[in-house]
Amino acid sequence: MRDLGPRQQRNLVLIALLLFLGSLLFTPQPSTANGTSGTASCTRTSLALWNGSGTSTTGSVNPCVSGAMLDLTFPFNSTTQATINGVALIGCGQTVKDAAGDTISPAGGMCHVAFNSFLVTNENAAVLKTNGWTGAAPSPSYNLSINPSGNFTIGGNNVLTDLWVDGNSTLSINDGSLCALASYIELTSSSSAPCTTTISKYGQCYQGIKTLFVKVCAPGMLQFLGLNNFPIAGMDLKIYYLATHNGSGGPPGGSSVQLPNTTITVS
Amino acid sequence: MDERRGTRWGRASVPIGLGLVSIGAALTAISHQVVALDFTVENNNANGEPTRFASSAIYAQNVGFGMTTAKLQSGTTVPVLRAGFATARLDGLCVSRQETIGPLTVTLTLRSGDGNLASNPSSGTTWPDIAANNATFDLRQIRGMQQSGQASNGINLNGLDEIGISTQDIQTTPGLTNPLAGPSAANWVGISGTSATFYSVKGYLYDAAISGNIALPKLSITTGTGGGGQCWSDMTTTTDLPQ
Repeated sequence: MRDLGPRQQRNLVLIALLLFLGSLLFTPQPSTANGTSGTASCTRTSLALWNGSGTSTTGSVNPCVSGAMLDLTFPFNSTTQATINGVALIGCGQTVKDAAGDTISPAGGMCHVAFNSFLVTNENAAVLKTNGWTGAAPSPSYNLSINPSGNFTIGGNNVLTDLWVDGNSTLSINDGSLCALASYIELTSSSSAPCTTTISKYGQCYQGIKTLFVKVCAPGMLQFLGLNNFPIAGMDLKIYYLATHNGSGGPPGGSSVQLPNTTITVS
Repeated sequence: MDERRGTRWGRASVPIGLGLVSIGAALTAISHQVVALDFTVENNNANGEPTRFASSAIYAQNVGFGMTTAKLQSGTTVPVLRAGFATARLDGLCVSRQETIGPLTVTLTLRSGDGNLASNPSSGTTWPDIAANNATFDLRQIRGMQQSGQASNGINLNGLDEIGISTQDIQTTPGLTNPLAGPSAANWVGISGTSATFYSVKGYLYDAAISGNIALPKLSITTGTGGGGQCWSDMTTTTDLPQ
């Protein structure tokens, strides 16, 4: 066989090493896909699901809730950025435990709210993010962010979305009559339901989620106002758990979470 | 003393033979769908990035994303988003890894796919070409988009979807406890769905493990120098996706 020059010999050995490394990379090895580490004995919380009528529930889920808060936000904009056909405040002061068995205690209390046909229709700055773990080594802290650019769906047409959120979450609505009605009822109501935030901005209004849902979302109120849906101009939902379903706790048809042109990043 | 000259074919034959036999056996087994596949956990390369991957579409059943940790070969523990599927079918797959060896930038690239963008199994077209069971991917970043000819866009979860569950509670493999190996502590958050579709996907991964069978049609593994040959160069475009 002919002799090779020093450079060719180096390349030859390099190729041989790459072949070997390549084989290691793609060679079958004991897999972690079916690992049995961890535990299934985490604390579960039974959570009833809205059936789309009043504040009634039908069916339930029994998840092991992580305890990390996921913040779904998009900034206030005068144009409608999301729509919800129906909403319900099932109740606040709910007890939801995290996976370790500790009760999750958000600043505004734990509220169960539910949406019908939740669609984000005109938004490019939304983000769903968490800094779920800030513990010490050996477990690293982490940030997880989900950034859809454009319209996205967490629910969709005829899908119910149940959320357990911090009562200090906010929705901003950009319909004057809805805002005025909310303010009027709030001022005149003798209800002991807690009110949180009401902030005027650019002629629109922010409503603390408890206020909004308690004061405005009575059945038939949207029709009374001549609206087909809640026109949402901004939101800050501090979510601990969310489930999409068909109204009886079963899976809805189609894609109930649609995240087009979306980047998910861990850091 | 005379300097020894000439090629040491005898010595060179050892690594060459070892490499050829080893990779030949691996590829034969993989192409016959009889083995599991595990890309080993890697360090970030000299540019600080893990392995790149891309697929034109992924259709998966029993899907979950959960935050957990992975230990790199360097010993560093990093947070990862572990994506798991009970079954998955892919339109094309590319995995590439770039390293700097001395003065050389070497790229090792795996590609598979039949070149046919069959994006929607419900349309009656042939199922996507790559099939895998019980797969997990440890991700640092993933992006879903849309290219011409595809039924939908980005990342879609179907059925009863849950956000906020603990990683350890995600059931991507029925009957198995904690298939994503999530920590038992609180605050390791996850997302699960009955099924999912991912369109025009690009991203960075630390690890991929497929414990069930996998079929990789038209599999090719290439090496190159000079810095080219990566699966993709711009995560935000769909121009260089495999099919």
